[in-house]
Amino acid sequence: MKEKYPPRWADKILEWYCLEYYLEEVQGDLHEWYFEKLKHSSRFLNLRYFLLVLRYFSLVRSKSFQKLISNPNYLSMKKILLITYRNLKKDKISGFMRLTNLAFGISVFLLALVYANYELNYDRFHEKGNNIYRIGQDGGGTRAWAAGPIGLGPFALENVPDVKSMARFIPVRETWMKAGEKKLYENGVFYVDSSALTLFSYEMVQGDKRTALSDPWSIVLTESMAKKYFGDEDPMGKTMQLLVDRGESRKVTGVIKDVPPQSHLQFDFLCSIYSYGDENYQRSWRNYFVYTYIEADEEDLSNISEQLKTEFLTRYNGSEDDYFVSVLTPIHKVHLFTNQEKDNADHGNAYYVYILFSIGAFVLIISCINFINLTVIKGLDRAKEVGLRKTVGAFRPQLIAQFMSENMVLLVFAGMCSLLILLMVEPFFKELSGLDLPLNFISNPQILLTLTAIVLGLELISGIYPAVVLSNFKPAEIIKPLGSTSMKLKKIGVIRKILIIAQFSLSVILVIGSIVVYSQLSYLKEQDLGFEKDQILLVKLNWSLSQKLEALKEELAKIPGINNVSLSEDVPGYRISMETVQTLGNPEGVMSRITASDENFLDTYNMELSAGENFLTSSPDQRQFIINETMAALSFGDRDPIGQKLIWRDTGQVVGVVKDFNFQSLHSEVEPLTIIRNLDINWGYVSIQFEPQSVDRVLSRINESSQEIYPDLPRMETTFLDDRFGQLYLAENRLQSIVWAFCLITIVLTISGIFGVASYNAHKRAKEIAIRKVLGAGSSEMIWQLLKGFVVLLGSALLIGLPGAYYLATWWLQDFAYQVSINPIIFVGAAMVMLILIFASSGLVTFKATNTNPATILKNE
Amino acid sequence: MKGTHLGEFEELVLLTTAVVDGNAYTVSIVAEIEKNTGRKLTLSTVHTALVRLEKKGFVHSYMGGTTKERGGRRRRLYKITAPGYSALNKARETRTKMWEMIPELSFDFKGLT
Repeated sequence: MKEKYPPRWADKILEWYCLEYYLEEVQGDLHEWYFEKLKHSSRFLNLRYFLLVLRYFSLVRSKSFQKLISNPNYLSMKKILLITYRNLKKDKISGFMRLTNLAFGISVFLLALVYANYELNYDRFHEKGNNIYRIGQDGGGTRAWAAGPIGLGPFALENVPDVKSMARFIPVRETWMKAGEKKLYENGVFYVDSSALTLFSYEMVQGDKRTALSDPWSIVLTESMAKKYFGDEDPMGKTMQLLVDRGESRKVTGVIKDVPPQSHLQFDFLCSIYSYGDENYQRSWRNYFVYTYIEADEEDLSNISEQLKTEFLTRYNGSEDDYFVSVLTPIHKVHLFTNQEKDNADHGNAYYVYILFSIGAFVLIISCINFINLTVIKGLDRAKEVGLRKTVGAFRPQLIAQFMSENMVLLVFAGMCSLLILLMVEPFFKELSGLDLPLNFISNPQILLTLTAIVLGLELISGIYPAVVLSNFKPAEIIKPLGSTSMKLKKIGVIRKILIIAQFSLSVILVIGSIVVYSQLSYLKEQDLGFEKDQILLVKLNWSLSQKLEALKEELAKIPGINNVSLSEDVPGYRISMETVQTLGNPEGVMSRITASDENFLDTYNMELSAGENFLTSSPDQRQFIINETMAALSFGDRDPIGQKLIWRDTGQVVGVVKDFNFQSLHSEVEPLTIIRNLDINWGYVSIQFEPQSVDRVLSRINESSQEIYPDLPRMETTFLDDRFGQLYLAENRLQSIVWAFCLITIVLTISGIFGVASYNAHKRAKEIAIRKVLGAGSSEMIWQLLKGFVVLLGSALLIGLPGAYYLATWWLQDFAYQVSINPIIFVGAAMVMLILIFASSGLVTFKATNTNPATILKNE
Repeated sequence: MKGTHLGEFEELVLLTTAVVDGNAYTVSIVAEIEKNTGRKLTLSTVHTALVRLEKKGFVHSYMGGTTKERGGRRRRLYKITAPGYSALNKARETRTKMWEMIPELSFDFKGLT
């Protein structure tokens, strides 16, 4: 029999990990064991040998671990941790304040960063996202149109070679969906090209991306809608009916995951566009309500606009001078950076992102200054330690490294605290921002990365200065103070004072800024819009409801508690289309919002006429216009507008001028408005003015009547107009609360900073105070002595902060059509508040110092 | 002082080291323990205990001779030190003292009578 030996590979493993010191012994022991066992049985011996080798692995015998812990860096790290721990333990209050300061600053900044990051990264999940553009059109008005005609997409794809693919989205307004017994109103319905699913990266759960929408009568829905209509059944192949399809039914050919919230296009249903009019219509230059997306390379963009124009003009025999401008918007920019007409995408406000981000940065800076100040102050107490270390032989770089490492320990700890804080504020943040954004570092690992970057950045910014200053002491001077040291201490004092001034000015700016933002936003909300919005109920009409409009109107008029009922094409608060209206002398015309209504409109909304009168019911066939004051001024100048002719599709007469009112929201100025009396139009809304005290009865009666008139339709939905306006100001409301919260944090941070500096001052001058007291000085006099320095600092801070705040406030306000006037009281108030805060917090500390019995302080000498 | 406590298993290993004095290395200690107590131990367990005992100063080690099976590798021999011996002694004394503290026990042999 061949002689057996312990397996060489197992030995290799041992040699790899085992410390040199033990290797010979252990290997010898193992071999001895092996041959001993070999005498009895040799089953699985090699395996058992291998397991034994593995079991020998432990940290005491591990090569790399022993190397690690004998590394000098590890040893000094251990020392630094120990020293930091002892220092923190020695002065718990200062340590606690430094920590909380940093933790707060970091958390606020992280929050702002997470929010900004979210808002700035809309539509990034599309794989082709960098090459997708929305084609809008510049119609010559103040704002470009987000939407174009239905034929634009196919035209661009066929005639412009740089356009690689195209998908159209046509929003369907106000429709119901029917599947089996379920019939519900739906908002998120679009007609789309079959290419929409391949151009955009929506995740398919069932069905084929490429073919799902090829059939004209196909529909693709989201997972949650599938659940809503079909429960646990398989939705594929089921049929659904839409109101807008007039009786045809659609087959479900695909299910996609719910649209991610970071998408400007939000929808629940996608219907095939090929059922939307015939081939001819699909290529026509009609229906200017189609969002067209194309895929193209960035460098081809200007080319594409040019080509579109030339192609369009040659094909339709236009002249070179015809106005035809395409606006290509990258889809990432749609959410934050566009403000186009006809756009009903999910929009954010870039301004608010900037505001919140700069507040976050300000708060971080303030907390850093606090940290630096407190660290330097604490460090002065350690001057003797530095002197001693230097005497014993420490070099300056080593001392700097030590101080910086100590800061690092604090920073890392503060970072961990801020993670905890984020976890705690997550529910509030969700409510405030309305975003479903995870703030815990496990489901949002990005936070950890950002935090690491912040901590390292802060280490550089706020760690270096104290380290350099503190390591600069000369041993001899410290142990035996000479004139020059006190000079040096004074110099440190100057830089610290500058930091304090910077901090105070930032606080002043933040406080004033918050007040201005707050008052501007409340001004917007409370401004009189010029019409009744609180007592209006709206019913949005659709094709099925319009069938029995007269009956509905009659029923509504009968309900007690309803004062007025009016039919109109549009209502305030919603978008009103803008078109050219001409006058006889001016064929160029004026761009004006244009809508139609019946004669009850003005009464229902309590709008006031400044000239002329309401629509005349006596002559039903006559074309009549009511215009607002802006429109009157633009069209007729100084002439009396009453009785003048206006041309919009046909000629009519102006019968009245209504006082300017804000039919959109106060974000924009009052635009020209033309209301036409029109009886044979597709009405858009029923507006109902009701008595506020009988609102419940009115609502239930409306519900009853609608059931009576429309037995086979889903329950008629009514909305309050002021809810709509609430929605328009949602972003402002949220910003308001966030600004308040940040303002509070700023104040708290400032107080804690003052507190730290003041207690240091009081501590340093404890002996002086005690002696003065023994000599007969009064408490109040000494408190003033200590406070004086602060007052000077605050004065200089106000000199910087007040003009700064004024400049920033006016800069921010200039973009609002309606601005609150900046009240000087705000500035005086903010200055007073700062003064009171400083007096209160530093006064408290000083008071404690001056009230101590001099004997307790002096006996130590 | 922290770190010089003698654990139960360490005591057993230390004791055995003293028993096989002069030829105490991991393999022989494992064999001796098995012979006296019937406990089957792995080499690594005992070796770890020895390393720890050496760190506490209860044993000291030196490289000894080799045999054919070891492929020329020397063995590390462990010898109990004076502090080790006194630690063992102290452990025994504690034990004896506590043994003496046990009152006369009367056992109930229920079911036997």
